[in-house]
Amino acid sequence: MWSYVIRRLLIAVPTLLGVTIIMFTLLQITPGDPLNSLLPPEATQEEREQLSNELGLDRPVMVQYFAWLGNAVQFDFGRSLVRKTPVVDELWLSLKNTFVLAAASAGVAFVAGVTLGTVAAFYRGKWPDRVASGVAAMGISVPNYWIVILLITVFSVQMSLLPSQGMRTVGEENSFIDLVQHMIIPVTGLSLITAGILTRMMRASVLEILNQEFVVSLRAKGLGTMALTKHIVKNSAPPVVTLMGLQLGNLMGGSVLVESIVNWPGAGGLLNLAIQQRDIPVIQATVLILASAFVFLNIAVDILHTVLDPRVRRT
Amino acid sequence: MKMIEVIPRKRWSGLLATVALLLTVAAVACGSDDVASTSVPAIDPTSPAGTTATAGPTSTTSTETPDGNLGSGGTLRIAITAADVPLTDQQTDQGAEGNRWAGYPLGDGLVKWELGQNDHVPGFIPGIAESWEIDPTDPTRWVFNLREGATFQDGTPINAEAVFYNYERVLNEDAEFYNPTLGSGKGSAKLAIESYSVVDEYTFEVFSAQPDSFLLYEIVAMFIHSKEAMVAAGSDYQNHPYGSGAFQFVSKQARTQLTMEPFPGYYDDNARLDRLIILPMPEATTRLAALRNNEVDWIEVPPPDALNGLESSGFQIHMTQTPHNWPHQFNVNKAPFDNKLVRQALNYAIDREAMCRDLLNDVCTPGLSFANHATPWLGDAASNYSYDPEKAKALLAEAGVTTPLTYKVLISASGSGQMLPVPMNEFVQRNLAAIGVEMEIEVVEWNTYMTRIRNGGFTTDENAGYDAVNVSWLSVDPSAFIRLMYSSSIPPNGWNIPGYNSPVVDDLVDRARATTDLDERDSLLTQANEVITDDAPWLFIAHDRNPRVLSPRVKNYVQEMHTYTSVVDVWVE
Repeated sequence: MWSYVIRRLLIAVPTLLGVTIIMFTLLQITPGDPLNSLLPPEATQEEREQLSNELGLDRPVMVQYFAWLGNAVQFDFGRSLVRKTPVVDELWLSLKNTFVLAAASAGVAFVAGVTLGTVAAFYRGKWPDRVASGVAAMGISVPNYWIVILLITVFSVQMSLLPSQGMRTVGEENSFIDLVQHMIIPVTGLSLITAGILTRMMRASVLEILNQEFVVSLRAKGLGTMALTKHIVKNSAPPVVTLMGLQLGNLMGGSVLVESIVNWPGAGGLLNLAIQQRDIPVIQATVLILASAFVFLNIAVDILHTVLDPRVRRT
Repeated sequence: MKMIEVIPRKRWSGLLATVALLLTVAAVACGSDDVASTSVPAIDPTSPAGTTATAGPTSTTSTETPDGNLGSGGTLRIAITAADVPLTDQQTDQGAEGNRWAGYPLGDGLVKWELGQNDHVPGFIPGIAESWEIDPTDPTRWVFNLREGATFQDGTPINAEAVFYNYERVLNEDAEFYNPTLGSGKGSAKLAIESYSVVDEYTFEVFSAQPDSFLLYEIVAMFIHSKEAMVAAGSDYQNHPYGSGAFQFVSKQARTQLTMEPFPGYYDDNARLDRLIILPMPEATTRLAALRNNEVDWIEVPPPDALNGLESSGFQIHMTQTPHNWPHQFNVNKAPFDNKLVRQALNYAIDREAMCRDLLNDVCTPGLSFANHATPWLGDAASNYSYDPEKAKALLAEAGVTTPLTYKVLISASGSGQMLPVPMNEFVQRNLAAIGVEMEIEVVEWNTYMTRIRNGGFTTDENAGYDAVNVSWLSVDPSAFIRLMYSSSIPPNGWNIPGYNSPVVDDLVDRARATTDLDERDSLLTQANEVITDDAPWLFIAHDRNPRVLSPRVKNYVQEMHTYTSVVDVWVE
């Protein structure tokens, strides 16, 4: 088992290296210039050259890349070109903020998906199945940002029940209730697609288990519904957990659209802004961290899979 | 007898559910389109004082209360278009938005803009300096007499030494405390200012590089902060600045908020608010929702279609003529746009009033000249062009141009000051089609766009095939004539994108700059404006009116004919 983990971690290194090279290359060939974000239009050509020199932007591309890489492996991601503050500081804060949304959305989606999927499978063909499957289909097909706008229109603008934007009210930085209120709309929007996918997945998984002989035999032996359900869910879990891990990675990427609409200061918004400004250090670091999170999540989910399903052996 | 089921019964429920779902989705989708612009019952905002709002008369003009009835207090929460909190240092970032909401509130210059009124275009009034004069024996020497007894926000005295330190920190690259980040944005000041020095404790002199009637436009944007605080804080200064302006820094959080309070020791009228909070909110619809939900009291740049709904719900709509200009820049070295008649012809083909009224809900005014009503240099230039398609066709014929004529324009998808590029350009396209000009539109992302144009305007291979571009300008100061119209200012040495070359204009601008008589300067620039407008290196289209929407609880706000604005006289109920 441990050799498996170590092998996976070793393979992750060239993967992540590849990600950084591709990102860096893309940034170099994309038209546009970080200096446009730093200097007013009136800046003279000399000023631009001078600033370019100070920031090291006029060095050969390979030199810039290896300089960045050399620092990155020591967890020094440099300073934002635009704000001059260390990238690590604002990235850490943004990731924390996105994690709040991602974790909550994943949690809600997981509970909703597992519940609805199980219900749909148990009552297959009857109205609970249709309702659950219908809700799942809607969750997958309706754009999450559109749902968010709809929720804001109804619950914020019309009914004034929930805040329409932001992560907290100014002055209420320590209030948990305030945070939860701000989270309700974006979490609903973000969890929809995942909930939909999980419902369908869970339903299929449970149906497959229900058809297995051991279920019939347990029933015949008189096992109660609750205990039986526990067995069924535990057996259906592996594919769903795998999916959950991947979806969490997605959510960590931060839905740029939802974060933009609700003005959530997260990683999605940070990346979006950095791309528009061509803030190379911020983009590189954010993409690297998100890719790493995804890779490690995958490894963790694979390990979890073996824990849940002893039939699967990782060697 | 068994009924023959056309649709099997067990399929009905599924069919019904699907239809119901589709109808719901359709109804909601169509319904929610209009939400932003239909009237919503006026919400009952709860303010700190707990009073209910009155859906008072709406206006597009000022809301000055009668004299003697001035109130104070309240927290003003403003949602701005920037994506991040502006830098809270001696100089700021985020362009005009940064200056407007952090630069000017926190720090004053030797002179400041005459804000807080809208009966005339703001000029300069005493700031840190209570008076100034140009030395009669040396027209490059400007002497500023500072106020005595004024202090910075940390209590230290404002004197010539402090001013000197501030100037050195951003203008003198050899000074050991020179700040390259801030200094890199001060290129035009570095060119205009030759040197400066302390004369005595309250007298500061500045030498311009040449006799320069434009100098104060640079001076006004050199904000003065506490020398002692800057020395003590070093590179951490932006996290606790002590400026000289009407507002002092309280706190900030990246991408979230900037909080300020009135500076009680301000040398001029104190601000009336209890608190000023700036909230970055780059999406227009997010700002709109936040305003309607009473999470903010003031939003910049609302979506134009929302204005009717906001007005009928009791919000105050403010907009006015600003120096902004939204044109096409012609490639004046490419036939047939090298022919003035052709350029003038297109200027007669645009129905500007319809565009502003119908497409943009009056958030712009027709653009008919280079400098507009919000500058002192309009003169008669605005009477040149009008909407006259017949005249346009006649001019094209006179120029010997056969229609259809292709007109290839490169535009951006969005950008600072660019308003709504795609719909506005499509409108122009329709107007031009009516006179036989086929406009081809190509859209590019903003940062890419500016880089591309900066590289050499129409002289680069990449751009040489285009007949025009569409770059907006905020011309607050007369150096715009130099940057945008002077013959040597072709990118990257300036922003004379068309490649316009008029010795007459060059001469007028040179003379305007070199005179010490401000009336003469304005008269020369007015003449330059008239020549430029007649030569039409631009297709003049619109001026942004800089709309902003305020809650009815915000009192005594007046929108100046200017890029910048003041909230010193404002309070919130």
